[in-house]
Amino acid sequence: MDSIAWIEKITNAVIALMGGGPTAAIAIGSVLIITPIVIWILYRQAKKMYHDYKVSTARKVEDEKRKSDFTEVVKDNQGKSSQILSDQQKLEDKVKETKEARKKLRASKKKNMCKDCK
Amino acid sequence: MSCSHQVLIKDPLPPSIDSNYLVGETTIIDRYDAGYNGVTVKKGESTANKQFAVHTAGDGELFVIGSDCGIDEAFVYHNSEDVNLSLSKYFGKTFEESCLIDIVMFPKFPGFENSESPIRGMKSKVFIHVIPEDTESALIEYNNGETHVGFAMMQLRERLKDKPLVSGVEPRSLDIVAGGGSGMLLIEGCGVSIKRVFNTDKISIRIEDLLGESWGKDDGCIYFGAVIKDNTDTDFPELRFAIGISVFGIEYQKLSAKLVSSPGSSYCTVYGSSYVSYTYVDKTMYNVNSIKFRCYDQYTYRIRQYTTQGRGLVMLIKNKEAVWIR
Repeated sequence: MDSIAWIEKITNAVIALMGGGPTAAIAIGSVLIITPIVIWILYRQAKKMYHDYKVSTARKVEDEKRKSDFTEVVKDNQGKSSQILSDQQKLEDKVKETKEARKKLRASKKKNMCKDCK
Repeated sequence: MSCSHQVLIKDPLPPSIDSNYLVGETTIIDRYDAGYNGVTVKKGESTANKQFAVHTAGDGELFVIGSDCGIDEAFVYHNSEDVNLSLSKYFGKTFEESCLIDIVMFPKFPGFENSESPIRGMKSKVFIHVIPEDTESALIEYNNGETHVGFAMMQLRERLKDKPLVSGVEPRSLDIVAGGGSGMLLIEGCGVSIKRVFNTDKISIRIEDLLGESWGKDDGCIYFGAVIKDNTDTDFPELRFAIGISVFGIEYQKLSAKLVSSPGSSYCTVYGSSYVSYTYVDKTMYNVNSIKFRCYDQYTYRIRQYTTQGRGLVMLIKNKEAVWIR
């Protein structure tokens, strides 16, 4: 109630300053009605502009990230692919070495067993 | 179906692609998986009529890169279709060499044009492990009972250098099934070289044997192994296997979901994370994080959920139970 009384007092004071009368009252009334509408419209516009800005920034970030994500995937694949070829070859080399060593060991055992065969 | 409507939800958590967490689904020959997939084939095996498919969700673009097998492809996908690639086109008539394939998907979720959050992509890997013709694939068992033939894959969380594993504590180990007898186990990969004599049916390999006591996102590797058995005959039966490890960041939070269904009810409800923007029931998309749908026992339902940061989850539901989750 205090705030309404204050608004009333201020309005009456302004009307008096403007020389009183219905014209002043209509002018004041129009300002009081139109101002919040204008503020509301400006607020909505600002909100939309901010949203558009954020959306545009998000799309730019997406594009940048997509570029770097794709590049990283390709680099990683190329790096790992060469490692894979090399490691698989190393394994097969070790398998061959191991089998040959075992053959030699078996042959040597057989030879030792048959030392006195002849 | 009933659902509560939402817009694209901002996901504040680290993106899967930045954390190196693999999400996308693939089928390679007869194996379906999400994240990291792979199979073992013999050198000289025919590539004809062998499937390689990337299972998509919604619309978007995806790229398939396999440096060793000459795969460098781009696809636009629509309506959750399966993107099929011809293995014959890249490998020729027969498989001759192993190949690691990386897939990266950039989804275009409906409403993304007005989203204030960037939509991030998702990665997955497929490894085709080619072994010599005169060898066989070893069976690999995880300590949770899951088995793989010839190629086992896993995604491990980063382990910091200042918080190394305590000796004897094994977060995960694998058993290579040698099938009896004795012999030699060999492993090579990323500078690791193991040579071990065995005389048991199963040979246990600890993660720390391969990765050491700590590991980072760049330490992912494919380790190649051979089992050479002792035999008095001149021909040794030999086994081959490979273990693929991918490492994701400590900051990454996996998605989870809960399936609820009452006995006697013909409905299932899947409750997902509040950060999920889209849920797919098979190929149908819903802009929700939880979904109630009619589920029949004789059918397997595939539920997929995604956030704007590319965090994803796949759940297979059969007989009103979640039989598989990734």
